[in-house]
Amino acid sequence: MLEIKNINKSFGGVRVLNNINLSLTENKIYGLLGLNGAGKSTLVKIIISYLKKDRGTVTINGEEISSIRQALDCGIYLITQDLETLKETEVRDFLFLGKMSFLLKERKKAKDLLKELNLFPEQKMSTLTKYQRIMVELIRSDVFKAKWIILDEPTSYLGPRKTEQLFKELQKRKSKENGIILITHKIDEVFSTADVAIVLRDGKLVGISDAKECSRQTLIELMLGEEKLKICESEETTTGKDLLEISNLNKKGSFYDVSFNLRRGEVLGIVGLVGAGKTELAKSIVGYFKYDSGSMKVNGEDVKIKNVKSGIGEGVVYLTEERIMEGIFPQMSVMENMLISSFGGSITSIIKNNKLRERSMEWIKKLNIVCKDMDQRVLELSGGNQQKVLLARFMIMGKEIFIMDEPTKGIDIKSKEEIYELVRKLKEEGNGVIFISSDVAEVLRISNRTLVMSDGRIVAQCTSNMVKKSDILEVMFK
Amino acid sequence: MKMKKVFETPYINQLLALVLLCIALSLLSERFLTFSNFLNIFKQSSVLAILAIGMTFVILTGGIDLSVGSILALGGVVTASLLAGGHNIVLAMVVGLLIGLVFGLTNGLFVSFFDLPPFIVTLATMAIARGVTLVYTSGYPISTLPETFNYLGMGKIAGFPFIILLTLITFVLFYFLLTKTSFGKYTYAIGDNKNAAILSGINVNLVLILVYSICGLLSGFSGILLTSRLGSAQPTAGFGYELDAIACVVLGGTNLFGGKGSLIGTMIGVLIIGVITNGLNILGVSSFIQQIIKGVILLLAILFSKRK
Repeated sequence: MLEIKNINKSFGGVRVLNNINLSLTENKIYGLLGLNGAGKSTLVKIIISYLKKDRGTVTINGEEISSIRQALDCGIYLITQDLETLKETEVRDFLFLGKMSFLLKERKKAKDLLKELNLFPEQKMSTLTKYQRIMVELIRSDVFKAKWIILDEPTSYLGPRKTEQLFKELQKRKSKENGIILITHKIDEVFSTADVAIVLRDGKLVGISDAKECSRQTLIELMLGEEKLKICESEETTTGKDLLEISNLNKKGSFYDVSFNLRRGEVLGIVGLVGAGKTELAKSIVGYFKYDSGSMKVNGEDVKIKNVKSGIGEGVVYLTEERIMEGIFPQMSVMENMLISSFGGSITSIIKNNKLRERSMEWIKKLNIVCKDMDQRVLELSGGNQQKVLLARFMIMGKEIFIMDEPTKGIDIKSKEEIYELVRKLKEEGNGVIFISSDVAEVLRISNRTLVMSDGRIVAQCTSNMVKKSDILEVMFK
Repeated sequence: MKMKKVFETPYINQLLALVLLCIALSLLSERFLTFSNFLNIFKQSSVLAILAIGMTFVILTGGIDLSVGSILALGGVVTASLLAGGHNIVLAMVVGLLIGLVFGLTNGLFVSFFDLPPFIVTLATMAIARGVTLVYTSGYPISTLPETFNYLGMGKIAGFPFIILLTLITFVLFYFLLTKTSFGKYTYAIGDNKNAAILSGINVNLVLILVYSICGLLSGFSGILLTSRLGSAQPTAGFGYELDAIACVVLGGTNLFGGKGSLIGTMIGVLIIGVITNGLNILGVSSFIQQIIKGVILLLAILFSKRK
């Protein structure tokens, strides 16, 4: 029994958790739902005592938890969102990291479990895929004899098949008397996997109910509050002129024989699992990576893109999927973040502040970016607003070919809708958009045509209003 | 609430520290709070100010430059030896500046194209520049320099020391470069998130090379100024100046990991170090003990900036 009583937490005067009370029992999977900033991650970090609470108690079977060590000893195990740490550590060392003593028997058992996953104990952590990393974390939770396993948005970086495998594993653990808390903002996952849905909004517990008894609509409404969801109609195919033509692009180990064209006024979706080569392809087109062979035409003319700067010069701009690692300049202002690319990479441009301020104001309004003012550091904005700042950077350049890599990853539903709307606007203005995502439903909704990538090759091409989601999924796994 | 507002004013902590230092020193010695002593502080701080300007650019990119003190010495002795050999003043100074530029460029090339850690690269060039200086001079100072050259560091314009004017001009020039040009914004951007900078179409390598070149060039320049101010070039000049320059930058609120900071802050940092040095000299504290005090100040400054 995991009991959470009257948990309150503020960050710098802002209340992020407001009197949370929960009483959870083992043998169940709890789906913890909420938009970005709802307080999901904060809550679980408080449960394991990683963050200090302002008020309230966390108890497991009557014992109050007051330190990470104690949480671990009492069998609470958190698998965080940030899986990139401990690069050089070997898997076997990671498994027993923080364990004061262990039996050889346990080591042997862990080794066998790794074998099942086709992993070697001597492998470095950095060589694991995200899925393998989660599985290793699960094995580690066994080493610590965890009774409670908390996963913070594990599926936001897993493809559909790996997600399914993970859920199977979780079900197995549930039947072994484990309690599981799964943080997510994908409602479907709650229906498919969880027994109980818990919804947080703005730091408050707004709903808790049997997952089978609530409807999709009610969950969406609970997550969003007053905001209503906008549903868009299906898209038509276009007959615009070719804006970008890619012929036989190859990069060894990443993608092979990729050919496609992007028309004016079109959104071209690219779906595929993580590791299908989508990002490598996108980054090669924009000049971040070098490709081995193949050719590109922009507006019918052959182009050779040497680096990102020359790519922008040819009219190709790229929105990264790694918002924090490769996107924002955290300590710089909203304005600077939006305008950094607007000098075209020239190092000798003189900055005219008034003009730039006007321009930033215009884009803050246009994209509905929520910030104190344009001088606020981007670090302080929510994920969705950071993404909009990046979109502004991307659109201010005034180019025509937009490549967006997972533009809605890890952001809340409301911001997602706004991003779809922007994509639609870009299209209507006669630009071409390549929309890369591993969320098939999203791609089908937004794009005119869809390419399916698998193992570095384009395996199918289809117009959206002709296909069903299940058809695409089938191709992806072939 | 009002009190809180006051503490949010930029550089308020640094300015408060500076004022408190001045009050304390004027209580400790009546020789401190005089107009001529303040001019003196400015004069003494000029060389450090110019080093710290270059250092600010480097630290903003998330780097560090340990070679500034050695480059200062080399620039100084080469210019002095050319002057002592009867060469044209302009030529001698240009060569001194070029030496700084070449060392800075080398630092930049190793840091950008070969992607090596700035700490190690500049540690190496620090040793090289100092070694070259000692070999070149056989360890002897070079003096008897022409009057016109010494005017740079000792002369006055309408009663105002020329060296302070030169420092001000340098500051304004680089302040403009850092705040009013795209190059300046890129400098911040690289320190804040290098990958994002590359993806934003910024030629990161070029900017890094320019930043280290600027730092080298300014080191050479400060070497020339120091030589002129003292009327001779010492092969051991600028020893430990990298510490002072880094201290000024960090005291001025620049993030040691890059992406945040300003030249105005650095200038306040220079004044703090300048006042401390001057005050300790007036109070007769030995230069050995001064080293200890400066080291402690640097530690505290980093600690403080980290906590913010």
